[in-house]
Formats: sequence, C-alpha cells, structure tokens
Amino acid sequence: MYRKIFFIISLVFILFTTSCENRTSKENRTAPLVGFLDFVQDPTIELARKGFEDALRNNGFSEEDGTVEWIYTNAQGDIPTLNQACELLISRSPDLIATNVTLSTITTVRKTKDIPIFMIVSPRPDIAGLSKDTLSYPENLFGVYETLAYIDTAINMINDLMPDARTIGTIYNQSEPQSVDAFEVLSAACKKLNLNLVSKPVTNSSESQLVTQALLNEEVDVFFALPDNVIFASFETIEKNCSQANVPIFTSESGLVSRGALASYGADFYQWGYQCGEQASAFLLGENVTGPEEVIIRKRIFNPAVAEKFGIEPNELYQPIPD
Amino acid sequence: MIDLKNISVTFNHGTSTEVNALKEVSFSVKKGDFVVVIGANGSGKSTLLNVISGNIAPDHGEVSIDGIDVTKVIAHKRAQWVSRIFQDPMAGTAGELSVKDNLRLASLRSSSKGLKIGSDPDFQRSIQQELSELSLGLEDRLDTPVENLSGGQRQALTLLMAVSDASKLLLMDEPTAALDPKTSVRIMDLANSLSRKADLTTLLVTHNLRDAIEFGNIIILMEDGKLTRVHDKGKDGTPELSELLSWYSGIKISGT
Amino acid sequence: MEFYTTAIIQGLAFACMGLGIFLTLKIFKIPDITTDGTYTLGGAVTAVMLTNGMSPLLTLVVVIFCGAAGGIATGWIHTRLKINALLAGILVMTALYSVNLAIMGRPNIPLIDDKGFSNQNIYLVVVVLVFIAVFFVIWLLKTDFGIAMRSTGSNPVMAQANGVNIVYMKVFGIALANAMTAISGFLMVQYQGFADINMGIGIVISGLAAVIIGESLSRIMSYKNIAITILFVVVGSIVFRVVLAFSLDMGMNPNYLKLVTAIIVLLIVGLSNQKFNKHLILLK
Repeated sequence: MYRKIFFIISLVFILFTTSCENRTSKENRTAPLVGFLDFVQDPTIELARKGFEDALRNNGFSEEDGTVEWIYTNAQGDIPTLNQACELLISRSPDLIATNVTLSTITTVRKTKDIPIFMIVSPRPDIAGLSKDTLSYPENLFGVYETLAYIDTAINMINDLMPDARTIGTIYNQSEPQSVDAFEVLSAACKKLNLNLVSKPVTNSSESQLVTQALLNEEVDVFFALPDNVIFASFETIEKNCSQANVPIFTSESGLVSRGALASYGADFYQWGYQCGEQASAFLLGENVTGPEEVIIRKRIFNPAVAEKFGIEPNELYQPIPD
Repeated sequence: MIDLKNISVTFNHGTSTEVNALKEVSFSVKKGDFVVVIGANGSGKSTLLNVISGNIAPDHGEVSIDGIDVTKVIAHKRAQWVSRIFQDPMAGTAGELSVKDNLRLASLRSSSKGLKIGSDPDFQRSIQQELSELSLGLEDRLDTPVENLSGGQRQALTLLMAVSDASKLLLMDEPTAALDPKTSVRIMDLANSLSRKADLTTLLVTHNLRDAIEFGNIIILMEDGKLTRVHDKGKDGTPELSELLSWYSGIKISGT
Repeated sequence: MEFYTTAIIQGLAFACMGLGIFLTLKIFKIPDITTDGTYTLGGAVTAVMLTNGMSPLLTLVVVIFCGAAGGIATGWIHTRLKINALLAGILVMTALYSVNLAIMGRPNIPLIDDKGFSNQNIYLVVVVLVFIAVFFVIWLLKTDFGIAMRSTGSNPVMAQANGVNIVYMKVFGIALANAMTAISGFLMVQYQGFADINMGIGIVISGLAAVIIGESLSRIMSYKNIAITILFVVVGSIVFRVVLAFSLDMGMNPNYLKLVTAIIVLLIVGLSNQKFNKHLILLK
C-alpha cells in the first residue's frame, strides 16, 4: 500500500517540477511578454486577434524577430477553463494581457489589479458590469470598447437608402448578451424613427433557416442582421432566403457585406483588434496610455452588386467593397 | 389468513399474445397453514403468488389478508404482512449491501426507515446470535457485501430476513430451483423450521414433488390458470409420489 | 501556486456536483444528466438574488430547493410517466434552459461590487460547504434511510419486498443529487463573478470525471469503505481540475486541450486496472 502512495506522490512531484521550467522572470526578459486570452474558437472573432498582432508587428513587436514573446490561450468556450487559462497567463507575469470578448475581460479584471488589461470585442466597461459608472473604471483596464450607439446610425442608413421602408425584420440570439443588448437598442431606435420592428428569437444556427422564413412571411421591407455568432455562422442561409423574398439586408458588421448584405455601418473586428494593438504598442514603448477608448473605425460600406439588384444608389459617404 | 375471491389475471389483453394467467381463482388459506402449490409451467403458480404479494394487480376479484381487503394496497405496503423468497437466490438480498445491512433492512420491513443509524452493537449482537444458528459461518462475515456469498448462503440469509420482522405470510417461489441438491435440502429444512417456529402461514411453489410430500399440510394443483385440486393432508392423508404424478398426467391438453 | 490553487478551488466547488452524480449513478444506478440544467439554475438564482441584495445564506437555501425541484421533475417523469431516466434528464435539462433564461432576464449577469462572499471568503465557504456535504452524505448513507436508498439501487425488487417505497426513494435521490449540483452552481457563480446562461453546457462531464477518477483512485488504494469512496469523489474532482490545469501549463496548442485531458484521465483510470496493480505488487 505504501508503495502505491509513494509512486503517486513522486508522480505528482515530477509533474510540479517539470511545469516550473520555462518561466523567465520579469527582470531577465529580453523582450516583452504578451498574454492573449481568447474565449471561443471563431473565425470572425479571430480577426480581432489578427488585427492586434498586426498592429504590434507594425510597431516593431514581432515574434519572428524576437522583439516580443506571446502566450496564447483559448478557453474553448468553457468557463472553468477560462478561469484556469487566465490564472495561467497571470502566473507568467506578462507585461500585459489582451482579452478577447467580454467574458475574458470580466474574468481577467476580477483576477488581477496589477497587470494591464487590453480588452477587445468588449462593451463599454460599465455596460459589462465592470464599474458602476463611466468615471470609475479599474485602473489597470485599457483597450477598445464598443457602445451600441452605432446601431442608431445603422438604422438611419435604412432611412437614407430606402426611405419607403416601414417594417424591419430581425432575428436575435437570446443567449448572447451582445445580441440581446443590440436588439434592445435596435427596438428603441426603431420606435424613435417610427419604424415597425418584427423579431424572432433563435438559439443556434440550425434554426436560422426556419426562423428567417417565418420572419419573411410577415411582410418585412428590410432585414437587419445583428452582431451575433449564430447570425454570422448561418448568414448564407439568411441571405438566400431574403434574396428570394426580395428583402435587402442591412447590418452593423462589415464582414457580412461581402457575403451579400446590402450595406453596413459599424465596427470591423480586424480594425477593432488593430486599434487595441496600437494602444498596446504605445504602452510597451513607454508612452502614456490613459484608459479604455471607444472604437474609432466605423465605416459605411455597401455591396455594389447587391445595390444594383435592388436599384439603390448610395451617396459618396458609402464605400463600395472591392470586387 | 388469505382469501382469494374470483381472481382473474390476463396479460397483454386484446393483443395476439394475450394470456389468461388466472381464471376465476378462489380459495382460502387458514392461519398457520403450509400450502404447497404444484402445477405445470405456465399454470399460473407464480402469478398467484404475485397477486397475493401485490406485484400484480388482478383484473377482477378480491384479495384479503387477515380479514383486510388488500386488493388495492400497493406492494411495498403489503410488505408489512408478506415476506418473499425468490427463485433466484440473488434476488432476495441486495448484493452491494453487507450481511448486517440486509438484515437491518429486513428488520424494518413493516416500519418506516428513519434517519437514525440503526446498526448499533445491540442489533449486531442479536443478528450474530441468529446467524450462528444457521451454521454457515455468516456470523463472522457481518460486513461482507452479500454479492461475495454463495447462492445457498444468500438464500439462507433471505430466509432469515423473511422471518425477522413480524410478518404473517411467507411466500416461497421455487426457492431451491437454482441450488445444488445438498444445499436445497438444507434450505428447505431451514424454511420449514423457521416458518413453524414463527408460526407463519406459508405458500410454497415448487416443482419438486418430494417437497410436496414432505412439507406442508395442504397441496393445491394449478392447471392452466385454474385451481383444480385441493388436498388436505389432515383429512386425506399424505399422497404417494405416484399419486401426485398421476395428478399431473390428468392434465387435459386443450382440444381433447 | 495561485495557478494550482484555482484548480483546487474549482475542483472543490465541483465536488458537490460530483457527490450528486455519485448518488444517482453509483447508489441509485440511475444515469441522470439533468445536471447541466440544475447547475445553471443554481447559478442563475444565485446571481439574481445576490444582485438584488439578498443574503448569501438565504440564497443558498433557495438554491437547494430549486435544484431539488429540478430533480423532482426528472424523477417524476421517470417514475410516473415511465420514461427512460436518461431521456427524462434530457427533457428537464432542455426545459430548464428556458426557465433559467426567464429567471436571469438576460444571458449574462455579472456580480458587481463583490456581492455575496468576497474573493477571500469564497475559499473558506467552498471548503466548509464541501465538508458539510461530504459528512452529510456519509451520515445519510449510514442511517436506516440510507440503507433503504442503497437497496433501491442495488436490488429494487427486494427493496420493495422489504417495505421500501422505491418510487419515492428514486425521486428523492434524484432531487438530492440535483440540489447538490445546484450548490456547485451557487459556488462557481461567486467564484467566477458572473452567471451565464451557457455555463452549464457540458458541465456534467466534470462531475462524471470526479466520480470515475475517485473510484479509480480508491481502487488503487484498495479501499472498500463507503465513507472513503465518497471522500475520493472530492479528491477525484480536484484531480480532474489539476489535470486540466497541468495540460494548460504544458503550453501546448489549446485546440488539443480536451484531447490531452481525456488521455490523462484515461491513464489514471487505467492505473487502477487490476493488471497494473499486479505489476506494482511485483515491485515489492
């Protein structure tokens, strides 16, 4: 019996010692250490990371040249793993931690008050519950956030390009906070502009076809695609159905315009990540960074082929996407 | 003690596999009787026992135990009057529980299982006493999970459990069918002595005609769902083996 | 060390759920996966009550009742409607998704201002609660009621023949198990700082792993005592989380995280296999 206990204890001991190997302490570092905390594996959200990395690279911080060291972790959608991954990054004493999507940001803010946190694809801190108001943000919180004000502008886009439109249809995902919040802003905006909003809830991408068809049966003039993973994943289905029903799609995600939406006004994930990367680079170069800032690059984009189909000609404010 | 009035049981009513297991069976058992039930396979013997224990509800008819109409009483409530020994020696005890725990459960058969830790030293001493009388060595293996015991040991334990809480009725459904000849004899002797000692009304279903001769004071014959013969040894004496066999061959095959 | 402390605390928090699954799976022999739903239910109720200023103690009581209610639903569907236990569990789990969403009102509720137990206290609370849970279960299984419970799982026909109401027992067992799962939700929401509608997805695996690893470890140690077995469920839960943490620490591609974890768990289970034990004995 004791032999077995000894065996197990030595196994555990070996595990511990081997895991304490490659930890370069802060003083001995040649290049800054950057931690990246991702919550899910998603191609659209990945764009934010790419933007972040590119911004760092363009400011002289690249892994290939040895001017920066990365630790990248992804919680694979599991919250306990997110906690563990966050602790992992913290235990390596990085110079900063970039957090991609809201849950990563919330978790990291709870766990460290010292390590600078650069948030991406997260809402304004008080909206996320990280502070009581817009004045008392955590001291170590930086990065780029999005408010949902752009949705007002997006709705105005509809008035702009299709003044006769009266009824707007949309589907939203009840289990994503971003989607629900966006939906509420959308409802309020429609009410202000006296537009009729018809909506249907959806929980996963396999439901999109049916829900979209049900929605289109209710005589909508335009479809508004909210920023949401389920919609991103099943967009081709949504587009096909809307196209058949002759209903144009407006959205806040520029990535969807190249996939068939008519026009969009909103943040671009890649640019979002890039802007945060710029801020992070400034920090690493020793410049003064004050705190989280709002997303800057929001563009009006339209798809010329789709516009032609619907007989709409946007003015110069709108950028056509390259063919 | 037991009164059955016009009990009928049909399985799979209305389908192609419909079986009339019991057809208008009526009979009475007096307190203290030891009834041996014999009959061919499928004659309804086990169904009869299941109707008395409450595991099968009759389609019509009444069941009374000790004057109380229990037709609508659910099986686990009938347990306060009825103890069962099963054909499968493993079926009467809970394999993962220890000898002590099995006996503890049986001792609570008619009472509620409360939140106190019942297996105290007093209880342990009393069961050790009882177990040693079985001469199976079980008194030294109180904490052994019963799945580690042999079939014969488990069946003996089931018997002990059957008489451990004041039940009035002992139902035994071919208790030695899965046991070797020597163990079978021991178990039947044990069953007989325990039931006589506790003055239990007993029903024994068996294929072993020698058991019918040796034990009990009443023999009944089930044929094709009907009770066709009641033989009281007190009035008509103990039958010979050949006579019992002739009862069997008197079974009519449908159509003739 | 903070890194592995997280693993231990999460392991302890999930130990309650592990105990619940131990009860349904090992004692009652019922595979119950209502877990995903009742875990989130516990979390949802906790977040809503704490952000509305109610005391953590009252919240705990309500959480226990809610978890039990979920279990009673599954138990009722299984015993009264005679639906397979696994299916009953899935049905209730699916229904609870809507219930939880309705309770929360939004898909995510953050706990601002350290409502509930603060970061330091949560460690103590987790340890105390798990302690209480373990001793409660051990005590319960030793009582006459516990013997009736165990016989229901081991041999239901025999249990019934001995006066045990097995329908009531099964429902009670599933209710108790899910109440314990809900407690895990209560603890985790306070540890992670928010409740999320998707927090329960796949969480039953953590509980199953705790039971399986615990069983394997107790087999290695050759313990048959039921009290030790239960203690090892807690150990199993902690080991599972530590293994996960170690996989992360090894620094490999996060995509392979789940595969590597499965392999390591398999190794632990394989260690308890008899053949290997023989090799160990030969080492003497």
